Amino acid sequence: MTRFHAAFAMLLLVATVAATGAVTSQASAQTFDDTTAAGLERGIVKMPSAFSVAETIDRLETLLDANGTTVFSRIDHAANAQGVGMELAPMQLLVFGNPKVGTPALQADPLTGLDLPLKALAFQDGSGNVFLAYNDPVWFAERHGIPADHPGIQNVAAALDQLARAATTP
Amino acid sequence: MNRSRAFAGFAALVFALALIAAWLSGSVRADVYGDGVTTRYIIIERPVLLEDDGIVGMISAFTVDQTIERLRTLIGLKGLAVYAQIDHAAEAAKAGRTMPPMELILFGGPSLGAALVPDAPSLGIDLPFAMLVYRNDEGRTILAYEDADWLARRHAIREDNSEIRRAGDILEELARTATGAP
Repeated sequence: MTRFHAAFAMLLLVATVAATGAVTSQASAQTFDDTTAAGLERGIVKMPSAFSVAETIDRLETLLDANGTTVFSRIDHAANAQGVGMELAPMQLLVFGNPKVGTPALQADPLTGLDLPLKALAFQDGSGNVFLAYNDPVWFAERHGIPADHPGIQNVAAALDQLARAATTP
Repeated sequence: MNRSRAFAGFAALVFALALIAAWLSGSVRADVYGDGVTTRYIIIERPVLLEDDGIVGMISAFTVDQTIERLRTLIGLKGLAVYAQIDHAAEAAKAGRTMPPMELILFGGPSLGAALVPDAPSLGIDLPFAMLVYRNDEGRTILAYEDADWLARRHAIREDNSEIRRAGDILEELARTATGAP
């Protein structure tokens, strides 16, 4: 009888652990929901630009070139939309990176490959204001389980901040 | 007396096994906060447990090269365009580092997601859509892409928005077909 009780208690324990596991994994996904429910654009750094969308991306491209960073692709979202008769305010995306910096991240966690190379988006809002936006390296680190104070992350964050400021201000 | 206890034990065993099965399968839907919003871990058949936020993964029956080729063909058949293909492993090699095969494809088209952009301009940073194909530590080919629900949350688009749902369906169909998933 005691043995049976012990077995029963064990089963309940296993059940509880299993249930807790399920709830914990749900909760971590839910927390993310909550942060974004208010419409926060999570993990995106956005700054106003004194230039047009095309000029902002031109400037950024020049700065990246000078910096020895590879520009992989430049995509004109607005032109693509207009190509099929859709209206879209000026918007361009630049895809760029430095394999020397990015490869260690790829080796540590292959899924970082979905967020690399880096991307910067210049767009114009309804009032004609131009912004430059990019994925926050701290968010990138958090997403992929890299400590936010990792020196690589801090360096990239500082470099992007400097580049974005230079591209958007005269 | 003994019989009813045995039954209780059996019921507890079934309950425990069911919970464990649900937990392990990773596709539990739950209303954690009791606010009517159910959330689940998005894991599709033959799942890989991708711990990184908002990423769906599938094991491919093919090599990285083959999977990318299949993907390119399928993207073309859908009338979509490949905007960029980045060979992460080749880039790493240029930097003097060796890593297993890994390639990223950026693809899409004005018919896929662009209609959402005027109201959610930050979505532009996640367009064109990206699919990553790589060989993992176990030698398996993995195809990974961003979950449409996650993209919706990130850019404050309603998850039941028909455009984002349609994009999600197309991404899933492409991923399944490219990897040979049933």
